Amino acid sequence: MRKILLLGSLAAVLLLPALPAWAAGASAPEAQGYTEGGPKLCLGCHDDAKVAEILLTPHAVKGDPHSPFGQHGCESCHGPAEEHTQNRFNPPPVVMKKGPRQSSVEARNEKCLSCHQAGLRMNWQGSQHANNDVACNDCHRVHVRKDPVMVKLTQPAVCFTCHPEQRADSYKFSHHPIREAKVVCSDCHNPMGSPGPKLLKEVTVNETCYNCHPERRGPFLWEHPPVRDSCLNCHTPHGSTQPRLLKMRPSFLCQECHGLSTHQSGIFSGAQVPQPTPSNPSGVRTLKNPLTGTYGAVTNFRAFGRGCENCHSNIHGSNSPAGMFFTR
Amino acid sequence: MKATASLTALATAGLFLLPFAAAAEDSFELTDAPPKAADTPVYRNEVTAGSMWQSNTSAYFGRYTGLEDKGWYAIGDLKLHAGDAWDSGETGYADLVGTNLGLDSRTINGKFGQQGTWGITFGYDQIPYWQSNSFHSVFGDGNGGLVNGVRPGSVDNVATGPNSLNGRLATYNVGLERQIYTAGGKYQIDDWTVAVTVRHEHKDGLKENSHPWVTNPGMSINPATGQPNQNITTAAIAYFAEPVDYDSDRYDVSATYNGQRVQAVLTYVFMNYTDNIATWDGTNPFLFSAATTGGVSYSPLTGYRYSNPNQAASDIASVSAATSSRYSLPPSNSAHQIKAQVGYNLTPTTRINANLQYGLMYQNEGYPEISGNPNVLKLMQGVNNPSSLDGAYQTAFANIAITSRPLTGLDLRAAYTLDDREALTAHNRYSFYLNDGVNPTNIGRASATNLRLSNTVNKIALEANYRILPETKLLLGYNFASSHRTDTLSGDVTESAMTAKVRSHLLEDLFGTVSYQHSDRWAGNYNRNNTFSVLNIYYTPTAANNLIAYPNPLVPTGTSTQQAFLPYYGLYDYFLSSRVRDEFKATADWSPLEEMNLSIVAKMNYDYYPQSAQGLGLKSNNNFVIGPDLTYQFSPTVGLHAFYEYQKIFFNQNNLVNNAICNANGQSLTPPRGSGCLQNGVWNMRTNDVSQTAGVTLTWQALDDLKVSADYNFVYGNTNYAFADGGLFFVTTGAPNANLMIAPLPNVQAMMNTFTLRGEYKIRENISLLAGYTFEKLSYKDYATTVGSTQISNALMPGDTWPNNAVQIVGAAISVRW
Repeated sequence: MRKILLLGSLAAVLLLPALPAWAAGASAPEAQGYTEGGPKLCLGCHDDAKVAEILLTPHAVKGDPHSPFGQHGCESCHGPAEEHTQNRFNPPPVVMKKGPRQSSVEARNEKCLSCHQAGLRMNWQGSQHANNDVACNDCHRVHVRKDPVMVKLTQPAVCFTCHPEQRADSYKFSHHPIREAKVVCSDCHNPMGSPGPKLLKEVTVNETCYNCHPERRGPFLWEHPPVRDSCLNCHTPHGSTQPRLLKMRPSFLCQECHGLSTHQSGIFSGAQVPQPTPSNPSGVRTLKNPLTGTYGAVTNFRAFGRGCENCHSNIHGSNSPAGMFFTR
Repeated sequence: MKATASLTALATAGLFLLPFAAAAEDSFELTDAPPKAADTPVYRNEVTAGSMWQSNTSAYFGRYTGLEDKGWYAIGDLKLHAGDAWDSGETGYADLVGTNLGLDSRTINGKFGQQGTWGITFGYDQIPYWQSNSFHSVFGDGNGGLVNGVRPGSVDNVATGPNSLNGRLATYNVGLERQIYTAGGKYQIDDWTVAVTVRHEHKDGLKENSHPWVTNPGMSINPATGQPNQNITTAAIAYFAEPVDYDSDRYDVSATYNGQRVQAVLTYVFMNYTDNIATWDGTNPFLFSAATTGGVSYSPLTGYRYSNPNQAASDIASVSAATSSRYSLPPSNSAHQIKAQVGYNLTPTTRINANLQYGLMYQNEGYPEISGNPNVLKLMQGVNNPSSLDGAYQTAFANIAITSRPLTGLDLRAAYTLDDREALTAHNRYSFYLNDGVNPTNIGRASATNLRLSNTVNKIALEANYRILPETKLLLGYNFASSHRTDTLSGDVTESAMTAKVRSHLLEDLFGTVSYQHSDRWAGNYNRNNTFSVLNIYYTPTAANNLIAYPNPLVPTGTSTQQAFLPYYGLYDYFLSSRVRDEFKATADWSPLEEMNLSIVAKMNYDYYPQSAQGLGLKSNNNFVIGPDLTYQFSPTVGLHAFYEYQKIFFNQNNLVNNAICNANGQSLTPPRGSGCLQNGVWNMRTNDVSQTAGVTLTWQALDDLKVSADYNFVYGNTNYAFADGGLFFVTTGAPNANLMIAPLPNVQAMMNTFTLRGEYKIRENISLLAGYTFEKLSYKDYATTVGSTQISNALMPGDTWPNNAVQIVGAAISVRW
């Protein structure tokens, strides 16, 4: 109840100052000043191929009343241009192109949202990108027949423009196939707003991961709490220097939580790793005691391969009654 | 644009051609003066065909591309389009796009319909995943039978130890493949759209996995010699190729309303996952010793005695030679979701959004037998375990947000989120034997109760974004989250975070941002033993298991013994413990010329865990990233893009020194915690994970009909493991033992250089010749995969060779447009 009251109070505080604006907006007459010539009039002057390519896009289907060209043509997005046609130095109300005359982010986005508010854009307002003054046409290119951000092969390059850390991650030894164009940013994220964390398409991290990894969904008889809580407790999804997109190498990753008994707390240091020796340059079956300088056999397989998961290989959960320790 | 299309098509033909796309998109900006629309022919169809040759075989190079083998590959791409002219008044369209048609990473997508009324989509996507082409196993590919005459129960530590299997293990490729089929349809009436999508995926192949065979600890004596047997006495593992064969389906049905004031989406989703293989049964290759435990039951894995009241002496039984072990594969499952999203523009500047979701996840596949050993199963007679989990999670999610712009330049947002996951699975106590692949020995029956991991999170977010100056905005934010979990070590966790961010045009051509966030997480009811308590597993602290000599510094003196030593028979989950986090980020974007843009991003976060800082577990970690990005158009025909990124990830953690081994070997340790085996100590490990990534792309429109581009990428990763005090523990008496010594680990390193050269020559207006060359070299060093497949006692490792490669690809194709 307290939460409801709190939310109600917040809503009232936010809404009251906005009411005058609403009233003003509601009574404003619809903007006039559209030309009668339509797109052909515009293309008469703006007749370069880059502009005209819009004729090959869904925005320019005159027979579709939802399409800009089914309404006021170019002016559906750029605003009434009657004055512009009379004086070329008087720009149209909405200028998308980068430059000194470019319209504000709010003005540009308002035009796009006037048709594209539903669906994936439902949560645009207040989203991370909106708060950072990202305009729709910062990422989208409306006049090309294939918008690069809508094509798997070219989408990551658009996102990496502002997210260089993710670009670097995509090059790491272990990575999702982003560079290979088999997975793209929008497979997991909705850059136009999400009620979940990190602009994810689903409302939780795990539900996003289950879309491609449904075998991890379970429920399992024996659940591993950090796995059920969030895949990100152990994995870093954009790329890692460690195998299998792990944040850290097992056994050290496991030892962030486990140190119960003899083998869990083991010091899997270089003392258990084969070291090259003069007589055995390949390092096979040798172990150098740092105190005595002598060599012996490698004895502990937990330092190698997948570390703890050599035995606890069903670490995401087991459905065997004998799998409580995720060993089967 | 024609160049764009053809280049893009070829780019999709393979890895070496991938960077074409970026160049192709850039090419649109390279033109000197915009060509007149009327002078530019429009092509809507394109077919590209050719061939390329790869110099070497590399599983890593072909991991996701299908280019895993040396030899010839076909290049094939197509784009087909049919549709009504833009001003015809008709709305028909049809498109078909195929990429990588000559490779195992092929994709085909198509759509047709009438825009604004109805549309149909369909697609096929093939995704390979090559894991290794040098995997070694004593088992066959995808089955648990022993290979090359290896007898069950024959591998011990000496006479017929793993080393004796040199050359007898099977070697084969390990990899997976996904085949994804999609179809969808939509119908639009006025502001309403109804849509259905169906996705079916089949995944099969092999993946590397491993399985332990475990027996009781103890050393058996050969009565003939009086010397210890060389049989395996505790545990042994063997890698196997797990067979993967599953189908998953997803059905989405949605209705969308797109009005000016109100928008709404109602969606139902059904997901079904079917694993076509329930278990993997592996024959035990190892020879185990008979344990001489005197009828006392010990945990087979830890060697610690369970104080489990259900574990009676009668549960100790002698089992004859085992032949196989049963390993459970992921069980089939299903899930339902109903989602409702509503957005309402209360005023032109105020909007309310509500996102609601209810879901159910089910899993009720019959349990596999606990063992492949009939003698173990005999011991289970009379045990009434449930036959399946009847498992379910119910999820509920609600997010309500209000955004408003009460004043010009001021944006406000308030949001409340409920994220609830309730476990509906029954609590049951299960009895089982952890072992099954053992020689005659004493094994004890254990029992435990399954966990039910429910979780409720409530969040509030408040944000104000205000334009304090014409070119400067200030964002202030506050977030609070409270969560309650069951069956974990911290029942209640709260976290509050404050954010401040400034965005400003510092100069006309310089834009910058600075942000800082501080968050404080507090873990209440922090009981490190809680999870084990729910499982009904109890360890009794004794001198023998070294759990009583190191008091918990977080528990006041005088607390009962049981509580005082909880940390060492419990957990210290970093993701639920208290944490202080500071994040700092700064960006600068400089465009002194219209043709040039230079940006730089720097980010750092630091996490500190006060509950483990004085004890065990993760103490702190941080992440630092910095990197510039430069785009420069030297001339209308020459462009450059370059980037560099430096990243350092750091972890700092503690753990206990392994004193049980010390005891077993009659050794003692040196300070810091004092000498003697009963004095547990702390060891410390710090991981420094540094990576550097750089890339340069140069594009050159050499002639009207010739375009060339070159691309170079450099990636370097280096992970260093530093062990330190807590203390260096040296063996001062007794024989040297690796488990008690600390020595530096070799750094794990990866370095990759990739160079690509591409060219497109326009033979005719609608025909282009495309050519490309790529050289990639990967150097990789990882101690964890150093060992050969038969090198370690008690283990048959995968023996994968490091994925070092030096691969060249040369290819050519013809692109025809019409």
